Amino acid sequence: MSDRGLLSQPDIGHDYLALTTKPVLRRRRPGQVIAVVVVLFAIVYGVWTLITNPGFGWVTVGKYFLDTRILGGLLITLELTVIAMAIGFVVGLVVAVMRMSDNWLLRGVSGAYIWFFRGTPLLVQLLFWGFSAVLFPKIGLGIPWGPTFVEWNTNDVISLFGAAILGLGLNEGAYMAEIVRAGLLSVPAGQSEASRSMGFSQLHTLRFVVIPQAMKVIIPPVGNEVISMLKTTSLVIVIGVGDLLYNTQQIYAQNLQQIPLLIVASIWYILLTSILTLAQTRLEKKYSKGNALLLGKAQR
Amino acid sequence: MSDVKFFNVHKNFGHVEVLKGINLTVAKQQVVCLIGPSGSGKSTLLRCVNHLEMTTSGAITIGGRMIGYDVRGDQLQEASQPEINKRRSKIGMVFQSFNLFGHMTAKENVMFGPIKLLKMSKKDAEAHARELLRKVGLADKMDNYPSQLSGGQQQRVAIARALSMKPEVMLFDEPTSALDPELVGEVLDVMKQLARDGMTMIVVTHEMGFAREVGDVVVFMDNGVIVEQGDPQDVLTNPQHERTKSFLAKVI
Ligand SMILES: Nc1ncnc2c1ncn2[C@@H]1O[C@H](COP(=O)(O)OP(=O)(O)O)[C@@H](O)[C@H]1O
Ligand SMILES: [Mg+2]
Repeated sequence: MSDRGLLSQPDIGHDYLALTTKPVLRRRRPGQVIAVVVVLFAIVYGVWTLITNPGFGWVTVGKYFLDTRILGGLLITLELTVIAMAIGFVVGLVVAVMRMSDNWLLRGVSGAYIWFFRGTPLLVQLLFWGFSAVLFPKIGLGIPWGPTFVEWNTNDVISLFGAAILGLGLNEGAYMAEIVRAGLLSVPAGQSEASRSMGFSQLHTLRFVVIPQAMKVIIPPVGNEVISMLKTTSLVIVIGVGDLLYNTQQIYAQNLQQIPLLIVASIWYILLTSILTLAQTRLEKKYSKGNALLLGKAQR
Repeated sequence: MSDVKFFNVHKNFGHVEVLKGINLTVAKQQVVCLIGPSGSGKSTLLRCVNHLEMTTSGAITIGGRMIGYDVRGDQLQEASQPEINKRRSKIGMVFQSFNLFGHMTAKENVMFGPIKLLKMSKKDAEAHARELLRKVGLADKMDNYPSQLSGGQQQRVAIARALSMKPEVMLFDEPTSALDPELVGEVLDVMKQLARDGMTMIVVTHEMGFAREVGDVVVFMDNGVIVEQGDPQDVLTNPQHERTKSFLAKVI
């Protein structure tokens, strides 16, 4: 069998040593050439359309790019992103720690939280918070079923902005909980054990030993969540919060320049996303302290 | 330094009884080496000493005091968590897998406990850490992260970290079992020095040479009970029980 194999054909006497002096010829790949041509054509055509189609209204784009209403909306979008992520992170941390507790009630409650907030559409949750005044017309401080000390009208305290923050933040908390949990689980149990054996409390151990090391695993997906949140905030238009997209809509409702204004909003979104991506890369480096691979690179 | 006394210690995991009535006294400044087959309960016994595992019944005292319990009338009552943490900090523990904090340098590992728990100033803690790391022969590795250290070096940092809390007793759970053979010696040397300095030590080990040279007492455990104990020379060269004989025949 083996003597009839491909490699066992008799040597036909090439001078292999001489052949090694010339570079190897690459085989042409016709499929690749066709693909390149098609893609290049598509790009050229796309750019050409962008320039020549008056519908894009580049002049209008330029005119509204720094419009105060656009910038004001942008600020709201940023505020929503930052605050909702902060709430999401804290809620996520608490829910994740509860999820890993020995206590079945805490585990159950956190499980139910994740189940509920991941199980219903964010859009519905936002509408819910927007209409929460119907459910609880008044909120106050007091003892349940007992006396109430102070009370406010819900609409006065929970503004639409507040409703948006709650909706986005609590929803994010459910996703964040899973990210944080994966991070905490990635830290070997021996780390906590060493810390506990020195006399550190569970909370100190979590804060100084486990979380700093879990960050390495948590940061990359959290970065994705922030980027995703930046765009998800645009959903708040359903309850009428004046974010970037909402203000954009307001402007084109008046001047009917829908496409140019949507381009304005898109450029801002993509700009911010790019900045966040850069920041994410930086943070990932910072939290990989003690990572053998990176340290090795740094020394070279 | 403190003595350690075990009074009829039992430990169950669910329905499985892992420790079946351990009685043992480790005198002040004594080195006791625990040997025995895998699964015999050596690690569990060690972890009961600093209350990483809760005993099911019985008591363990360190310098006359229990870590996890207080005496209340004629009963034991579990102590409060802050109180347990405080008492536990007087017992140093060294693990088979080192468990150095991966995000801290060697020096930071050794400074961590004193700064956060003993409320030492950063400057004092650093001086203390330098001294300890010098003592374990790592003066030139202070700023390395654990991932940049060999196993033997990591284990020596771990010993320095445990010593940083000024412990009265040191527990070692197979400190050299995860090391390449050529790195075992450097860790054992540090432990020998510690023994000479008068530390009370309980050492789970398979290093019979160490037990013979440094141990004051060798304790052979099997299946949750102490089968025999005594002077290392006697137990290791002239074991009285069948189980000890067959175990020693396998490891030596
Ligand atoms: N957390 C635990 N839960 C259940 N069983 C355990 C646990 N830890 C140890 N055991 C069991 O207890 C016995 C003794 O274990 P261990 O103390 O680790 O033995 P050794 O250190 O002598 O090898 C083993 O049978 C082991 O499976
Ligand atoms: Mg063990």
